[in-house]
Amino acid sequence: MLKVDDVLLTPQKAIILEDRAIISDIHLGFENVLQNSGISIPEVQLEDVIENLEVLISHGIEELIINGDVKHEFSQNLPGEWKDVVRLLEFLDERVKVCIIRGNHDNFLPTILRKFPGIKFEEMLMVGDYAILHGHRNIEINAGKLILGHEHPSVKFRDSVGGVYRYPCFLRIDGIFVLPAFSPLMKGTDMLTATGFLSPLLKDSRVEDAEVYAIEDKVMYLGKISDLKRLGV
Amino acid sequence: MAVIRGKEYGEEEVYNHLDDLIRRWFREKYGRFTPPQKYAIVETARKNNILITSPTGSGKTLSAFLAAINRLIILARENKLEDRVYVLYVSPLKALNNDIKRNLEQPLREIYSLAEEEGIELQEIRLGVRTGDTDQSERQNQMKNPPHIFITTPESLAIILSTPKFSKLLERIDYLIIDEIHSLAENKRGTHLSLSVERLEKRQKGRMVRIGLSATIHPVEEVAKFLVGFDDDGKERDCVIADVAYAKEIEIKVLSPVDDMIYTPSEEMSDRMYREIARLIKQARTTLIFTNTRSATERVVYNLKKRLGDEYVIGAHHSSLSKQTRLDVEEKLKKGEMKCVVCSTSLELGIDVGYIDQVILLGSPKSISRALQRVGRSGHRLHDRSIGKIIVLDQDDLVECTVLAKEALDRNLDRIRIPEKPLDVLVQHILGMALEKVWKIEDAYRLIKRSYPYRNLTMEEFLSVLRYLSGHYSELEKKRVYGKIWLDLDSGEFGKRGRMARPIYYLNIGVIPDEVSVRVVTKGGKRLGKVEEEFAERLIPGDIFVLGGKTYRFLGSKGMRIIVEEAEGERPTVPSWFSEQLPLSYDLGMKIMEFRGKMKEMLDDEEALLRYLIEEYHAERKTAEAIYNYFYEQEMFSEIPTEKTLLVEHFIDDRSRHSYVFHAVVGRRASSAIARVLAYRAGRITGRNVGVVIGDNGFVLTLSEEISPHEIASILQTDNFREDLKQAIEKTEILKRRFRHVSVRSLLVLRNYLGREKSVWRQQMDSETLMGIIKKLDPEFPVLREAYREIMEDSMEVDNAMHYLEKIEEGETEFRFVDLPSPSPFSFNLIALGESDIVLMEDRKAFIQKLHARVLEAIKNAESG
Repeated sequence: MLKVDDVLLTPQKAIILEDRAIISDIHLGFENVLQNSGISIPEVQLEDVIENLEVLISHGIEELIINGDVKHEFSQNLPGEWKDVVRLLEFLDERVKVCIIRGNHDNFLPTILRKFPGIKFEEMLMVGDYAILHGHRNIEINAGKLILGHEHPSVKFRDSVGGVYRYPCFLRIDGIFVLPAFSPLMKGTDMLTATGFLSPLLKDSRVEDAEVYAIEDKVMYLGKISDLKRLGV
Repeated sequence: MAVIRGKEYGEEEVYNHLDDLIRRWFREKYGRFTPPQKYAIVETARKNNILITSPTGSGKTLSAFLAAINRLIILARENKLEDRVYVLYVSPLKALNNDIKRNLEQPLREIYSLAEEEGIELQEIRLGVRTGDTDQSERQNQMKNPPHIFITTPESLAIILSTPKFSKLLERIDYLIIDEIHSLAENKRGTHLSLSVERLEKRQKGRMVRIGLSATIHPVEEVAKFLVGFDDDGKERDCVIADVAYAKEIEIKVLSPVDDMIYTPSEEMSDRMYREIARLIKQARTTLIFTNTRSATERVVYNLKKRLGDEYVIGAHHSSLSKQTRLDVEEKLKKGEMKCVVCSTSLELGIDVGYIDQVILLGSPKSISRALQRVGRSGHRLHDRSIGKIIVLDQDDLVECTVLAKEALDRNLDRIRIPEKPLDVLVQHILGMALEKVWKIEDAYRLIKRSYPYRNLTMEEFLSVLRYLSGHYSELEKKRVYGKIWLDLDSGEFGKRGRMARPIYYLNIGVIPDEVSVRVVTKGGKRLGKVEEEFAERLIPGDIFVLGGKTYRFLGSKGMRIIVEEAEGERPTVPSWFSEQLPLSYDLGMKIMEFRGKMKEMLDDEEALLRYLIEEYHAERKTAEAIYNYFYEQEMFSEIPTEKTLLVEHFIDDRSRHSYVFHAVVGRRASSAIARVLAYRAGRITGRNVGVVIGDNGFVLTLSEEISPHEIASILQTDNFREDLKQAIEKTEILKRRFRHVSVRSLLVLRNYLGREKSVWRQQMDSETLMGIIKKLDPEFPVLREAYREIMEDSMEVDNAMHYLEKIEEGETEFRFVDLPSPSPFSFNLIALGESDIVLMEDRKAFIQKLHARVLEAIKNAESG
């Protein structure tokens, strides 16, 4: 874990703030969506997600905040999604307090959430000085510090002999943290080639100024995107 | 009887097997039978399987069809022709199909008018062509009025076999003719066809005679077995071989446009080359030029047009040109209206190219068989000579082509390699079979094993494919996806599942990987061309790469476009992973090493050596001298590697890295296997990444630190070779690329599903992630297993690689090591032109740790500075 400002960045792709862990972009049911477009892969995400959450919860956190995009399909609840989301929430509900922030993929999540009255579902949540929100929409916010999801940031490098490596990463820019996608299936957006951010809340920020915290077995600070570009990796 | 050599029958004996009408027509039109016809017609009339190998222009087509036409005419005369297919013709080329149809219509017309003359009533014999281009109405017409002679491609045949109605018309075929079988046998298209043929055989109610047509090929017996397959006892079915390949005379010459291949400036070199080509073109009536690559084709056409002006008609022919353009060129060629056609490799096979009296090869064709195939395109009629000229521009090419020309004249062909039981192709056929009916697992297994490539398929392998297709991804029940077939192990049966199975099969069948291309544009939006998606995926901003002969800097990507700016004169930074080059064959490699040995032996007596080259190799005096000088310089600077030595040269390059050049000429494929294993083993010693450059004349390992000759000797071993190769592949780029192709072929990723074209795959998944998931679930998963097999066996020739290393272990080949101040003459091209790859020995963790340290360093410097 790496302490940055008043939060901790963990290799499980979570930000820990006080006794809360914040993750985002799980995209459960993505396999289902892949299957519907002709890619036959079995359901593998949930197991991985639960394994990582177990580690995270073992750090003694009280509440888990899922910062948007619990599931993948925007326009309906696919059978596999329904099953996976229920299993995930049952797992969490028994162990910690859960709050879900609405993401752009979560339109049909509330139907599933009816079975879980203990789980909060919010557009945004304030924790200390931080506003936690997914980031796909522009919302009036009275906080200087934000924690967002939505971008799926990663960085891709090639070494001197030609090997290619890709790492998911946290970004920190103008007092805003961006979480990496929690889903093991999302390859992520390479910030070294990205020309801008997706979120309207970041429309005034330059990708070059974003500080990169890459994740392997530890979280490592790699300087700003502009530094990495200058190093020519 | 099994596979036996056929014999030439006498004229009269052949005539005796023909109907009066055909006999008269043939006598009037041709008079005499050509050698392949004398071999084939009697055998096929007797319903024997036959493989015919003979050069173009030898009446090959008619040798295959005449017995069949004879039978159809007899039936037509007796008014017994039924509405079904009697003769099925399959060729790998759509263009060839239309050609064949025309070439059959002509004799049939003549026979019919002869019949009319004689007052004989004949039923109509119908011909039909079915390819991917055949439209709906024509297909319906074929259903209503079935063609008696049905002409198709391997892919269309596989589809037809799974159609409920049309397949019924294919149950009593007399003759199955497979054309260009040499070009099919050695790749997965042929594997695919071999299973279709067994599925077709299974439906037959009578005897279906198999006829294969091939160019010169070796070993011809294997191809015969490939044609006929095996019976249920594992014995090959009967087949007669008609090897008439020797019938045509050929002449091959190696030409070097300049005397000094090292110091002649490249502009002068290319000027001299074009001057030479122009001279040759003017001398001949029609010239066909092979350039090996598409880009070179365009360049050569451009330069020749500039030089020869409008007086001569010169055209280009390669696979990126539109179908219409290609057809136009082919038509004109056939009519004798072209002075010269320049192609990449595209006119190597197929369509009858007509009036060509000379073939020019720019650079080595890399295999003896390919050289013969290309040169054989000239000399249209049987008794014309085939004339080939190979133009060489560097010393390695000169040596290689000198050896190649001699071997070609001596007809020492390279051996063909037939892929062994590819599981991805099997997946497609199991789905196709499931569409036909419910199968007993045992029955289906028996059918598959009749096909040559699958004769050694184990039940376990077969079941793994069935399980995969039925949606089981591992032993765990919960790891299931919706299957394309159902599988019941208790009843021992399987069958199709769901309504989607059929469209999935129809739309996704075939083995040729489709390359998705990405548009390259400038910042201003100007289009510059296209690159493969996988290439684009590898680029990072600042990279310099070559496109259409110019260099560009990669700035970033946007959707399916990449944005670049011109970077004139800068050195490309992106390794050439996507080589268009043809690989040197193992057998030719062996011959080159023997040649080197011979040169070394004779080096002391220059005159004798030159005489030897001129007499034995038909070399011109000046090329013989160039060869002598090349070998002399190598011997002075380092030493000449031969078939009895493995020479390793060590030097330190301009970036202070240690380079080890291995002079093992074992063909590019075996070379890539050895290179990667040695890189992996060297990496295990040093713990660092190892760069690999693979060329036709050996390979280079680049290390950041030195390893001793003793250490090199210790890694030249066959022990654990396959395991180490597998490990090495896991750490290279080639696996990701192949896995992607195999997963499409295995229907894991559908190219086309519900009319959508795998957009999700493109945008959000990469082959690496998918492969990671699958490896975690089941490392023995058939799709993954096939990706490894394809790389190790087909694109790398692991068996030849091990065979070479065995010779070192047994002391037959001696390991030699020299330290040099700089690269030796023999290694120049290898270093400059080889294809590179990398064997990663440092893991992701180590890489990012190093990067982290560099970043911190940079930040510290910035702060203190």
